[in-house]
Amino acid sequence: MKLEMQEYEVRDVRFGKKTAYAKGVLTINKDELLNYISTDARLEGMDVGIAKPGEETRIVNVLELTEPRIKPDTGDYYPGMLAPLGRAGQGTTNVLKNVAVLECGFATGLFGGLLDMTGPASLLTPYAKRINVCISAEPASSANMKEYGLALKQAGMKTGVYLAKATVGMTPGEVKTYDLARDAKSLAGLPRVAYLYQLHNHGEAREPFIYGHNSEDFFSTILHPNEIIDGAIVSFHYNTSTAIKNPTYTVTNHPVILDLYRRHGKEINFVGVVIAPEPPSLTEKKRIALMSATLLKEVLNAEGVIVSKEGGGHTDVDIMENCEQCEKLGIRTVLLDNEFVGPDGTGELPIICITSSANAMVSVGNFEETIELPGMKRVIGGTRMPDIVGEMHEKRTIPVSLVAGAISQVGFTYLRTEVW
Amino acid sequence: MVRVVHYINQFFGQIGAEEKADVPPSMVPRAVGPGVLIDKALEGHGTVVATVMCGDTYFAEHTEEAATKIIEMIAAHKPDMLIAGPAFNAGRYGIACAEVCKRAQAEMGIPSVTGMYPENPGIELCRKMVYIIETTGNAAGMGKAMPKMVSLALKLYRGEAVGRPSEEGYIPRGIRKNVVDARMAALRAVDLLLKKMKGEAFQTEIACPDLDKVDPPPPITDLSVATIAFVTEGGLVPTGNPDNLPYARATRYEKYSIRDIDTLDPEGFMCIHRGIDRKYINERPNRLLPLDAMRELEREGLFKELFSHYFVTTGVATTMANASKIGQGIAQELKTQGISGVILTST
Repeated sequence: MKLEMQEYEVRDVRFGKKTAYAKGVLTINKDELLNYISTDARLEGMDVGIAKPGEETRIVNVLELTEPRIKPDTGDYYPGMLAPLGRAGQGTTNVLKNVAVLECGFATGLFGGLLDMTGPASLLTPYAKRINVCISAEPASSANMKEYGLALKQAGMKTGVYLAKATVGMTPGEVKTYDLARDAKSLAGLPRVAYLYQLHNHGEAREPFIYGHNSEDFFSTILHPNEIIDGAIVSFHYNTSTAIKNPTYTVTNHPVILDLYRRHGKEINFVGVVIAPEPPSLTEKKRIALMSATLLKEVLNAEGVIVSKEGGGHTDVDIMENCEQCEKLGIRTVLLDNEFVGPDGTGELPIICITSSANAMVSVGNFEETIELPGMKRVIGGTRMPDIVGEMHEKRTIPVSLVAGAISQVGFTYLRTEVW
Repeated sequence: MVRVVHYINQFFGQIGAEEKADVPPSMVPRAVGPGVLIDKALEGHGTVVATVMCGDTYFAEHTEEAATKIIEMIAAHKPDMLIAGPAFNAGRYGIACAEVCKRAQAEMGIPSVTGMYPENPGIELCRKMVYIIETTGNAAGMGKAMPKMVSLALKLYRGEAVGRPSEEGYIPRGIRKNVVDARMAALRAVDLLLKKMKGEAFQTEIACPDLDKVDPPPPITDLSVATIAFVTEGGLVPTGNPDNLPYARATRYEKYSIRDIDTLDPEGFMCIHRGIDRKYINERPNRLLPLDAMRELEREGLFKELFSHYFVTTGVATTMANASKIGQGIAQELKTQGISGVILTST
């Protein structure tokens, strides 16, 4: 399976007469875009704004981030979600780099994040370094929380494809090829490494989609890494705290998969990815862990695996069970995990399930440490937000878990803890 | 001018060595012995207004009384900060410095800094609350330690940000602080995996606490004489949460009466647990604590009786240490009450 990513670097995004990409500048016809994404009866008052790195802008209620992409051959993206069902991970994909599309929304039950484009919080998240095209809308009175979220999701995906369309037929700045196939000789003797990717499904608007299918009930399965970085998995974690969800931007730029790809054929033999659910009961968790470990050992012949979790609380059980079952079969395991050690870092690690096999863990930071934010001049995304009191533009102290992108359970972050 | 009080033992206070270790607290209104190094390190920004001294043995044998007296003496000079020691590797002296610093900070709200050798037993008493500059094992390191202690105390006094342990010279406090690494977490994970696979030495970034395995007791042989109790981590409290049980990170449990109640109605009880969708429990609290079903079984005579109270905490992000403490507390009460079985419900 071979995927060519045609990358178009963006230096600036502005509103203008015609939506176009030229010399690193993406121009957006705002009215045309708004007309295109405002047709959904579940949404009201659709707006779009641009936020750039360094600006004194605060984006609130960030539910989801995506990267503008399109399949130039078919003119769409996200098979099973936005595009008709088809195979992700092959052919050509055009990508606008350095830009994110943000979906902002507020409703009871939704948990959006906060993103400052300057100041201390901006240093903690990769998304403050992107040019952000933010769409926001209110729910129509007839739309419940889930329908509202799905409508925003649809509008966000459409926006990304609409923007990326401007690159079709243009010469990319860079082309990256993703293909696991190598001649046997170049892979001989290299350590066989896989990735076990836990997906969190825990109710309405708290779920990723796999080729458009709600991930509520599936068994451990092997996906080609290309499928994951090319839109097969779409986040719908709108009812999940910001720090414990992986937005689609992160999934399509999956840092573990991309790093394993970079080392493939040089330091390692990247043998593949297993995705697994995090079901609610202990019996199911054990069954899934057994199945995942079997696939890794007996089908992929993995000798080492990175395991990441998604979500909080009971997902510790999954990651520890996965770790134990892999180690039992002789697969060396490293876990990515967030910490939860109190606002001042004095707490003990509350991991609800522990195995002695979990002797190699990488931290993605303490969730609860607070950070002081200065006031911002401009606010995008609403006038109120869950867990935050007062005017949105004001200076305030918040836990780092509310900063969109600061904590990333798949390791798309530079944050970690250090013992002081 | 920053007003500094210095705490030292009888030896550094030039009262005498071990034979004078039982002298009670005393005070001199100026720098004594190593205190002159404090004056020097302050570089004109402040001065030692008093030196409070106490014999190490006296402090060890009359800790509460000595500490109270010492704090009184310190407070009388209205200092802006306290410097204690350094105590190097002297155990009793280290413990005294730790106690005095902890109390000065808590009761007077002034920054307090001490200095110790990493093996000093005083460290474990205070390192989470008090900054301890790392010193050599003996007084040869006095000249190096004192300027670091003063400089750190000045930073705290001025409200300036304190840097890493290695930058400031203090013994790590065991506080887990968020930092920005040069390398992305995902890449560090792959680095770590390759080290582990190659059999090289590797360092985990998160160390798991030790597990405490509990063997279940043998089953109840005769239910007809058994009193059964309800225990839950589901955060079910009387409406209004009268004891303010925390909705997460609980450090305690409560017990509430279910005497003469046959069913839990939503008017009387509510769920405060922050880790779940509370809707279903709040509609029918019996879903969390099946009192209705238990009463039926009680009437049928399946067991002798249901205990008059249920025990409750909230199991959300609870640390292992707190969970153990809560569990031990509940188990102790159950045992005292002669309860032979528990229905433990969770979310």
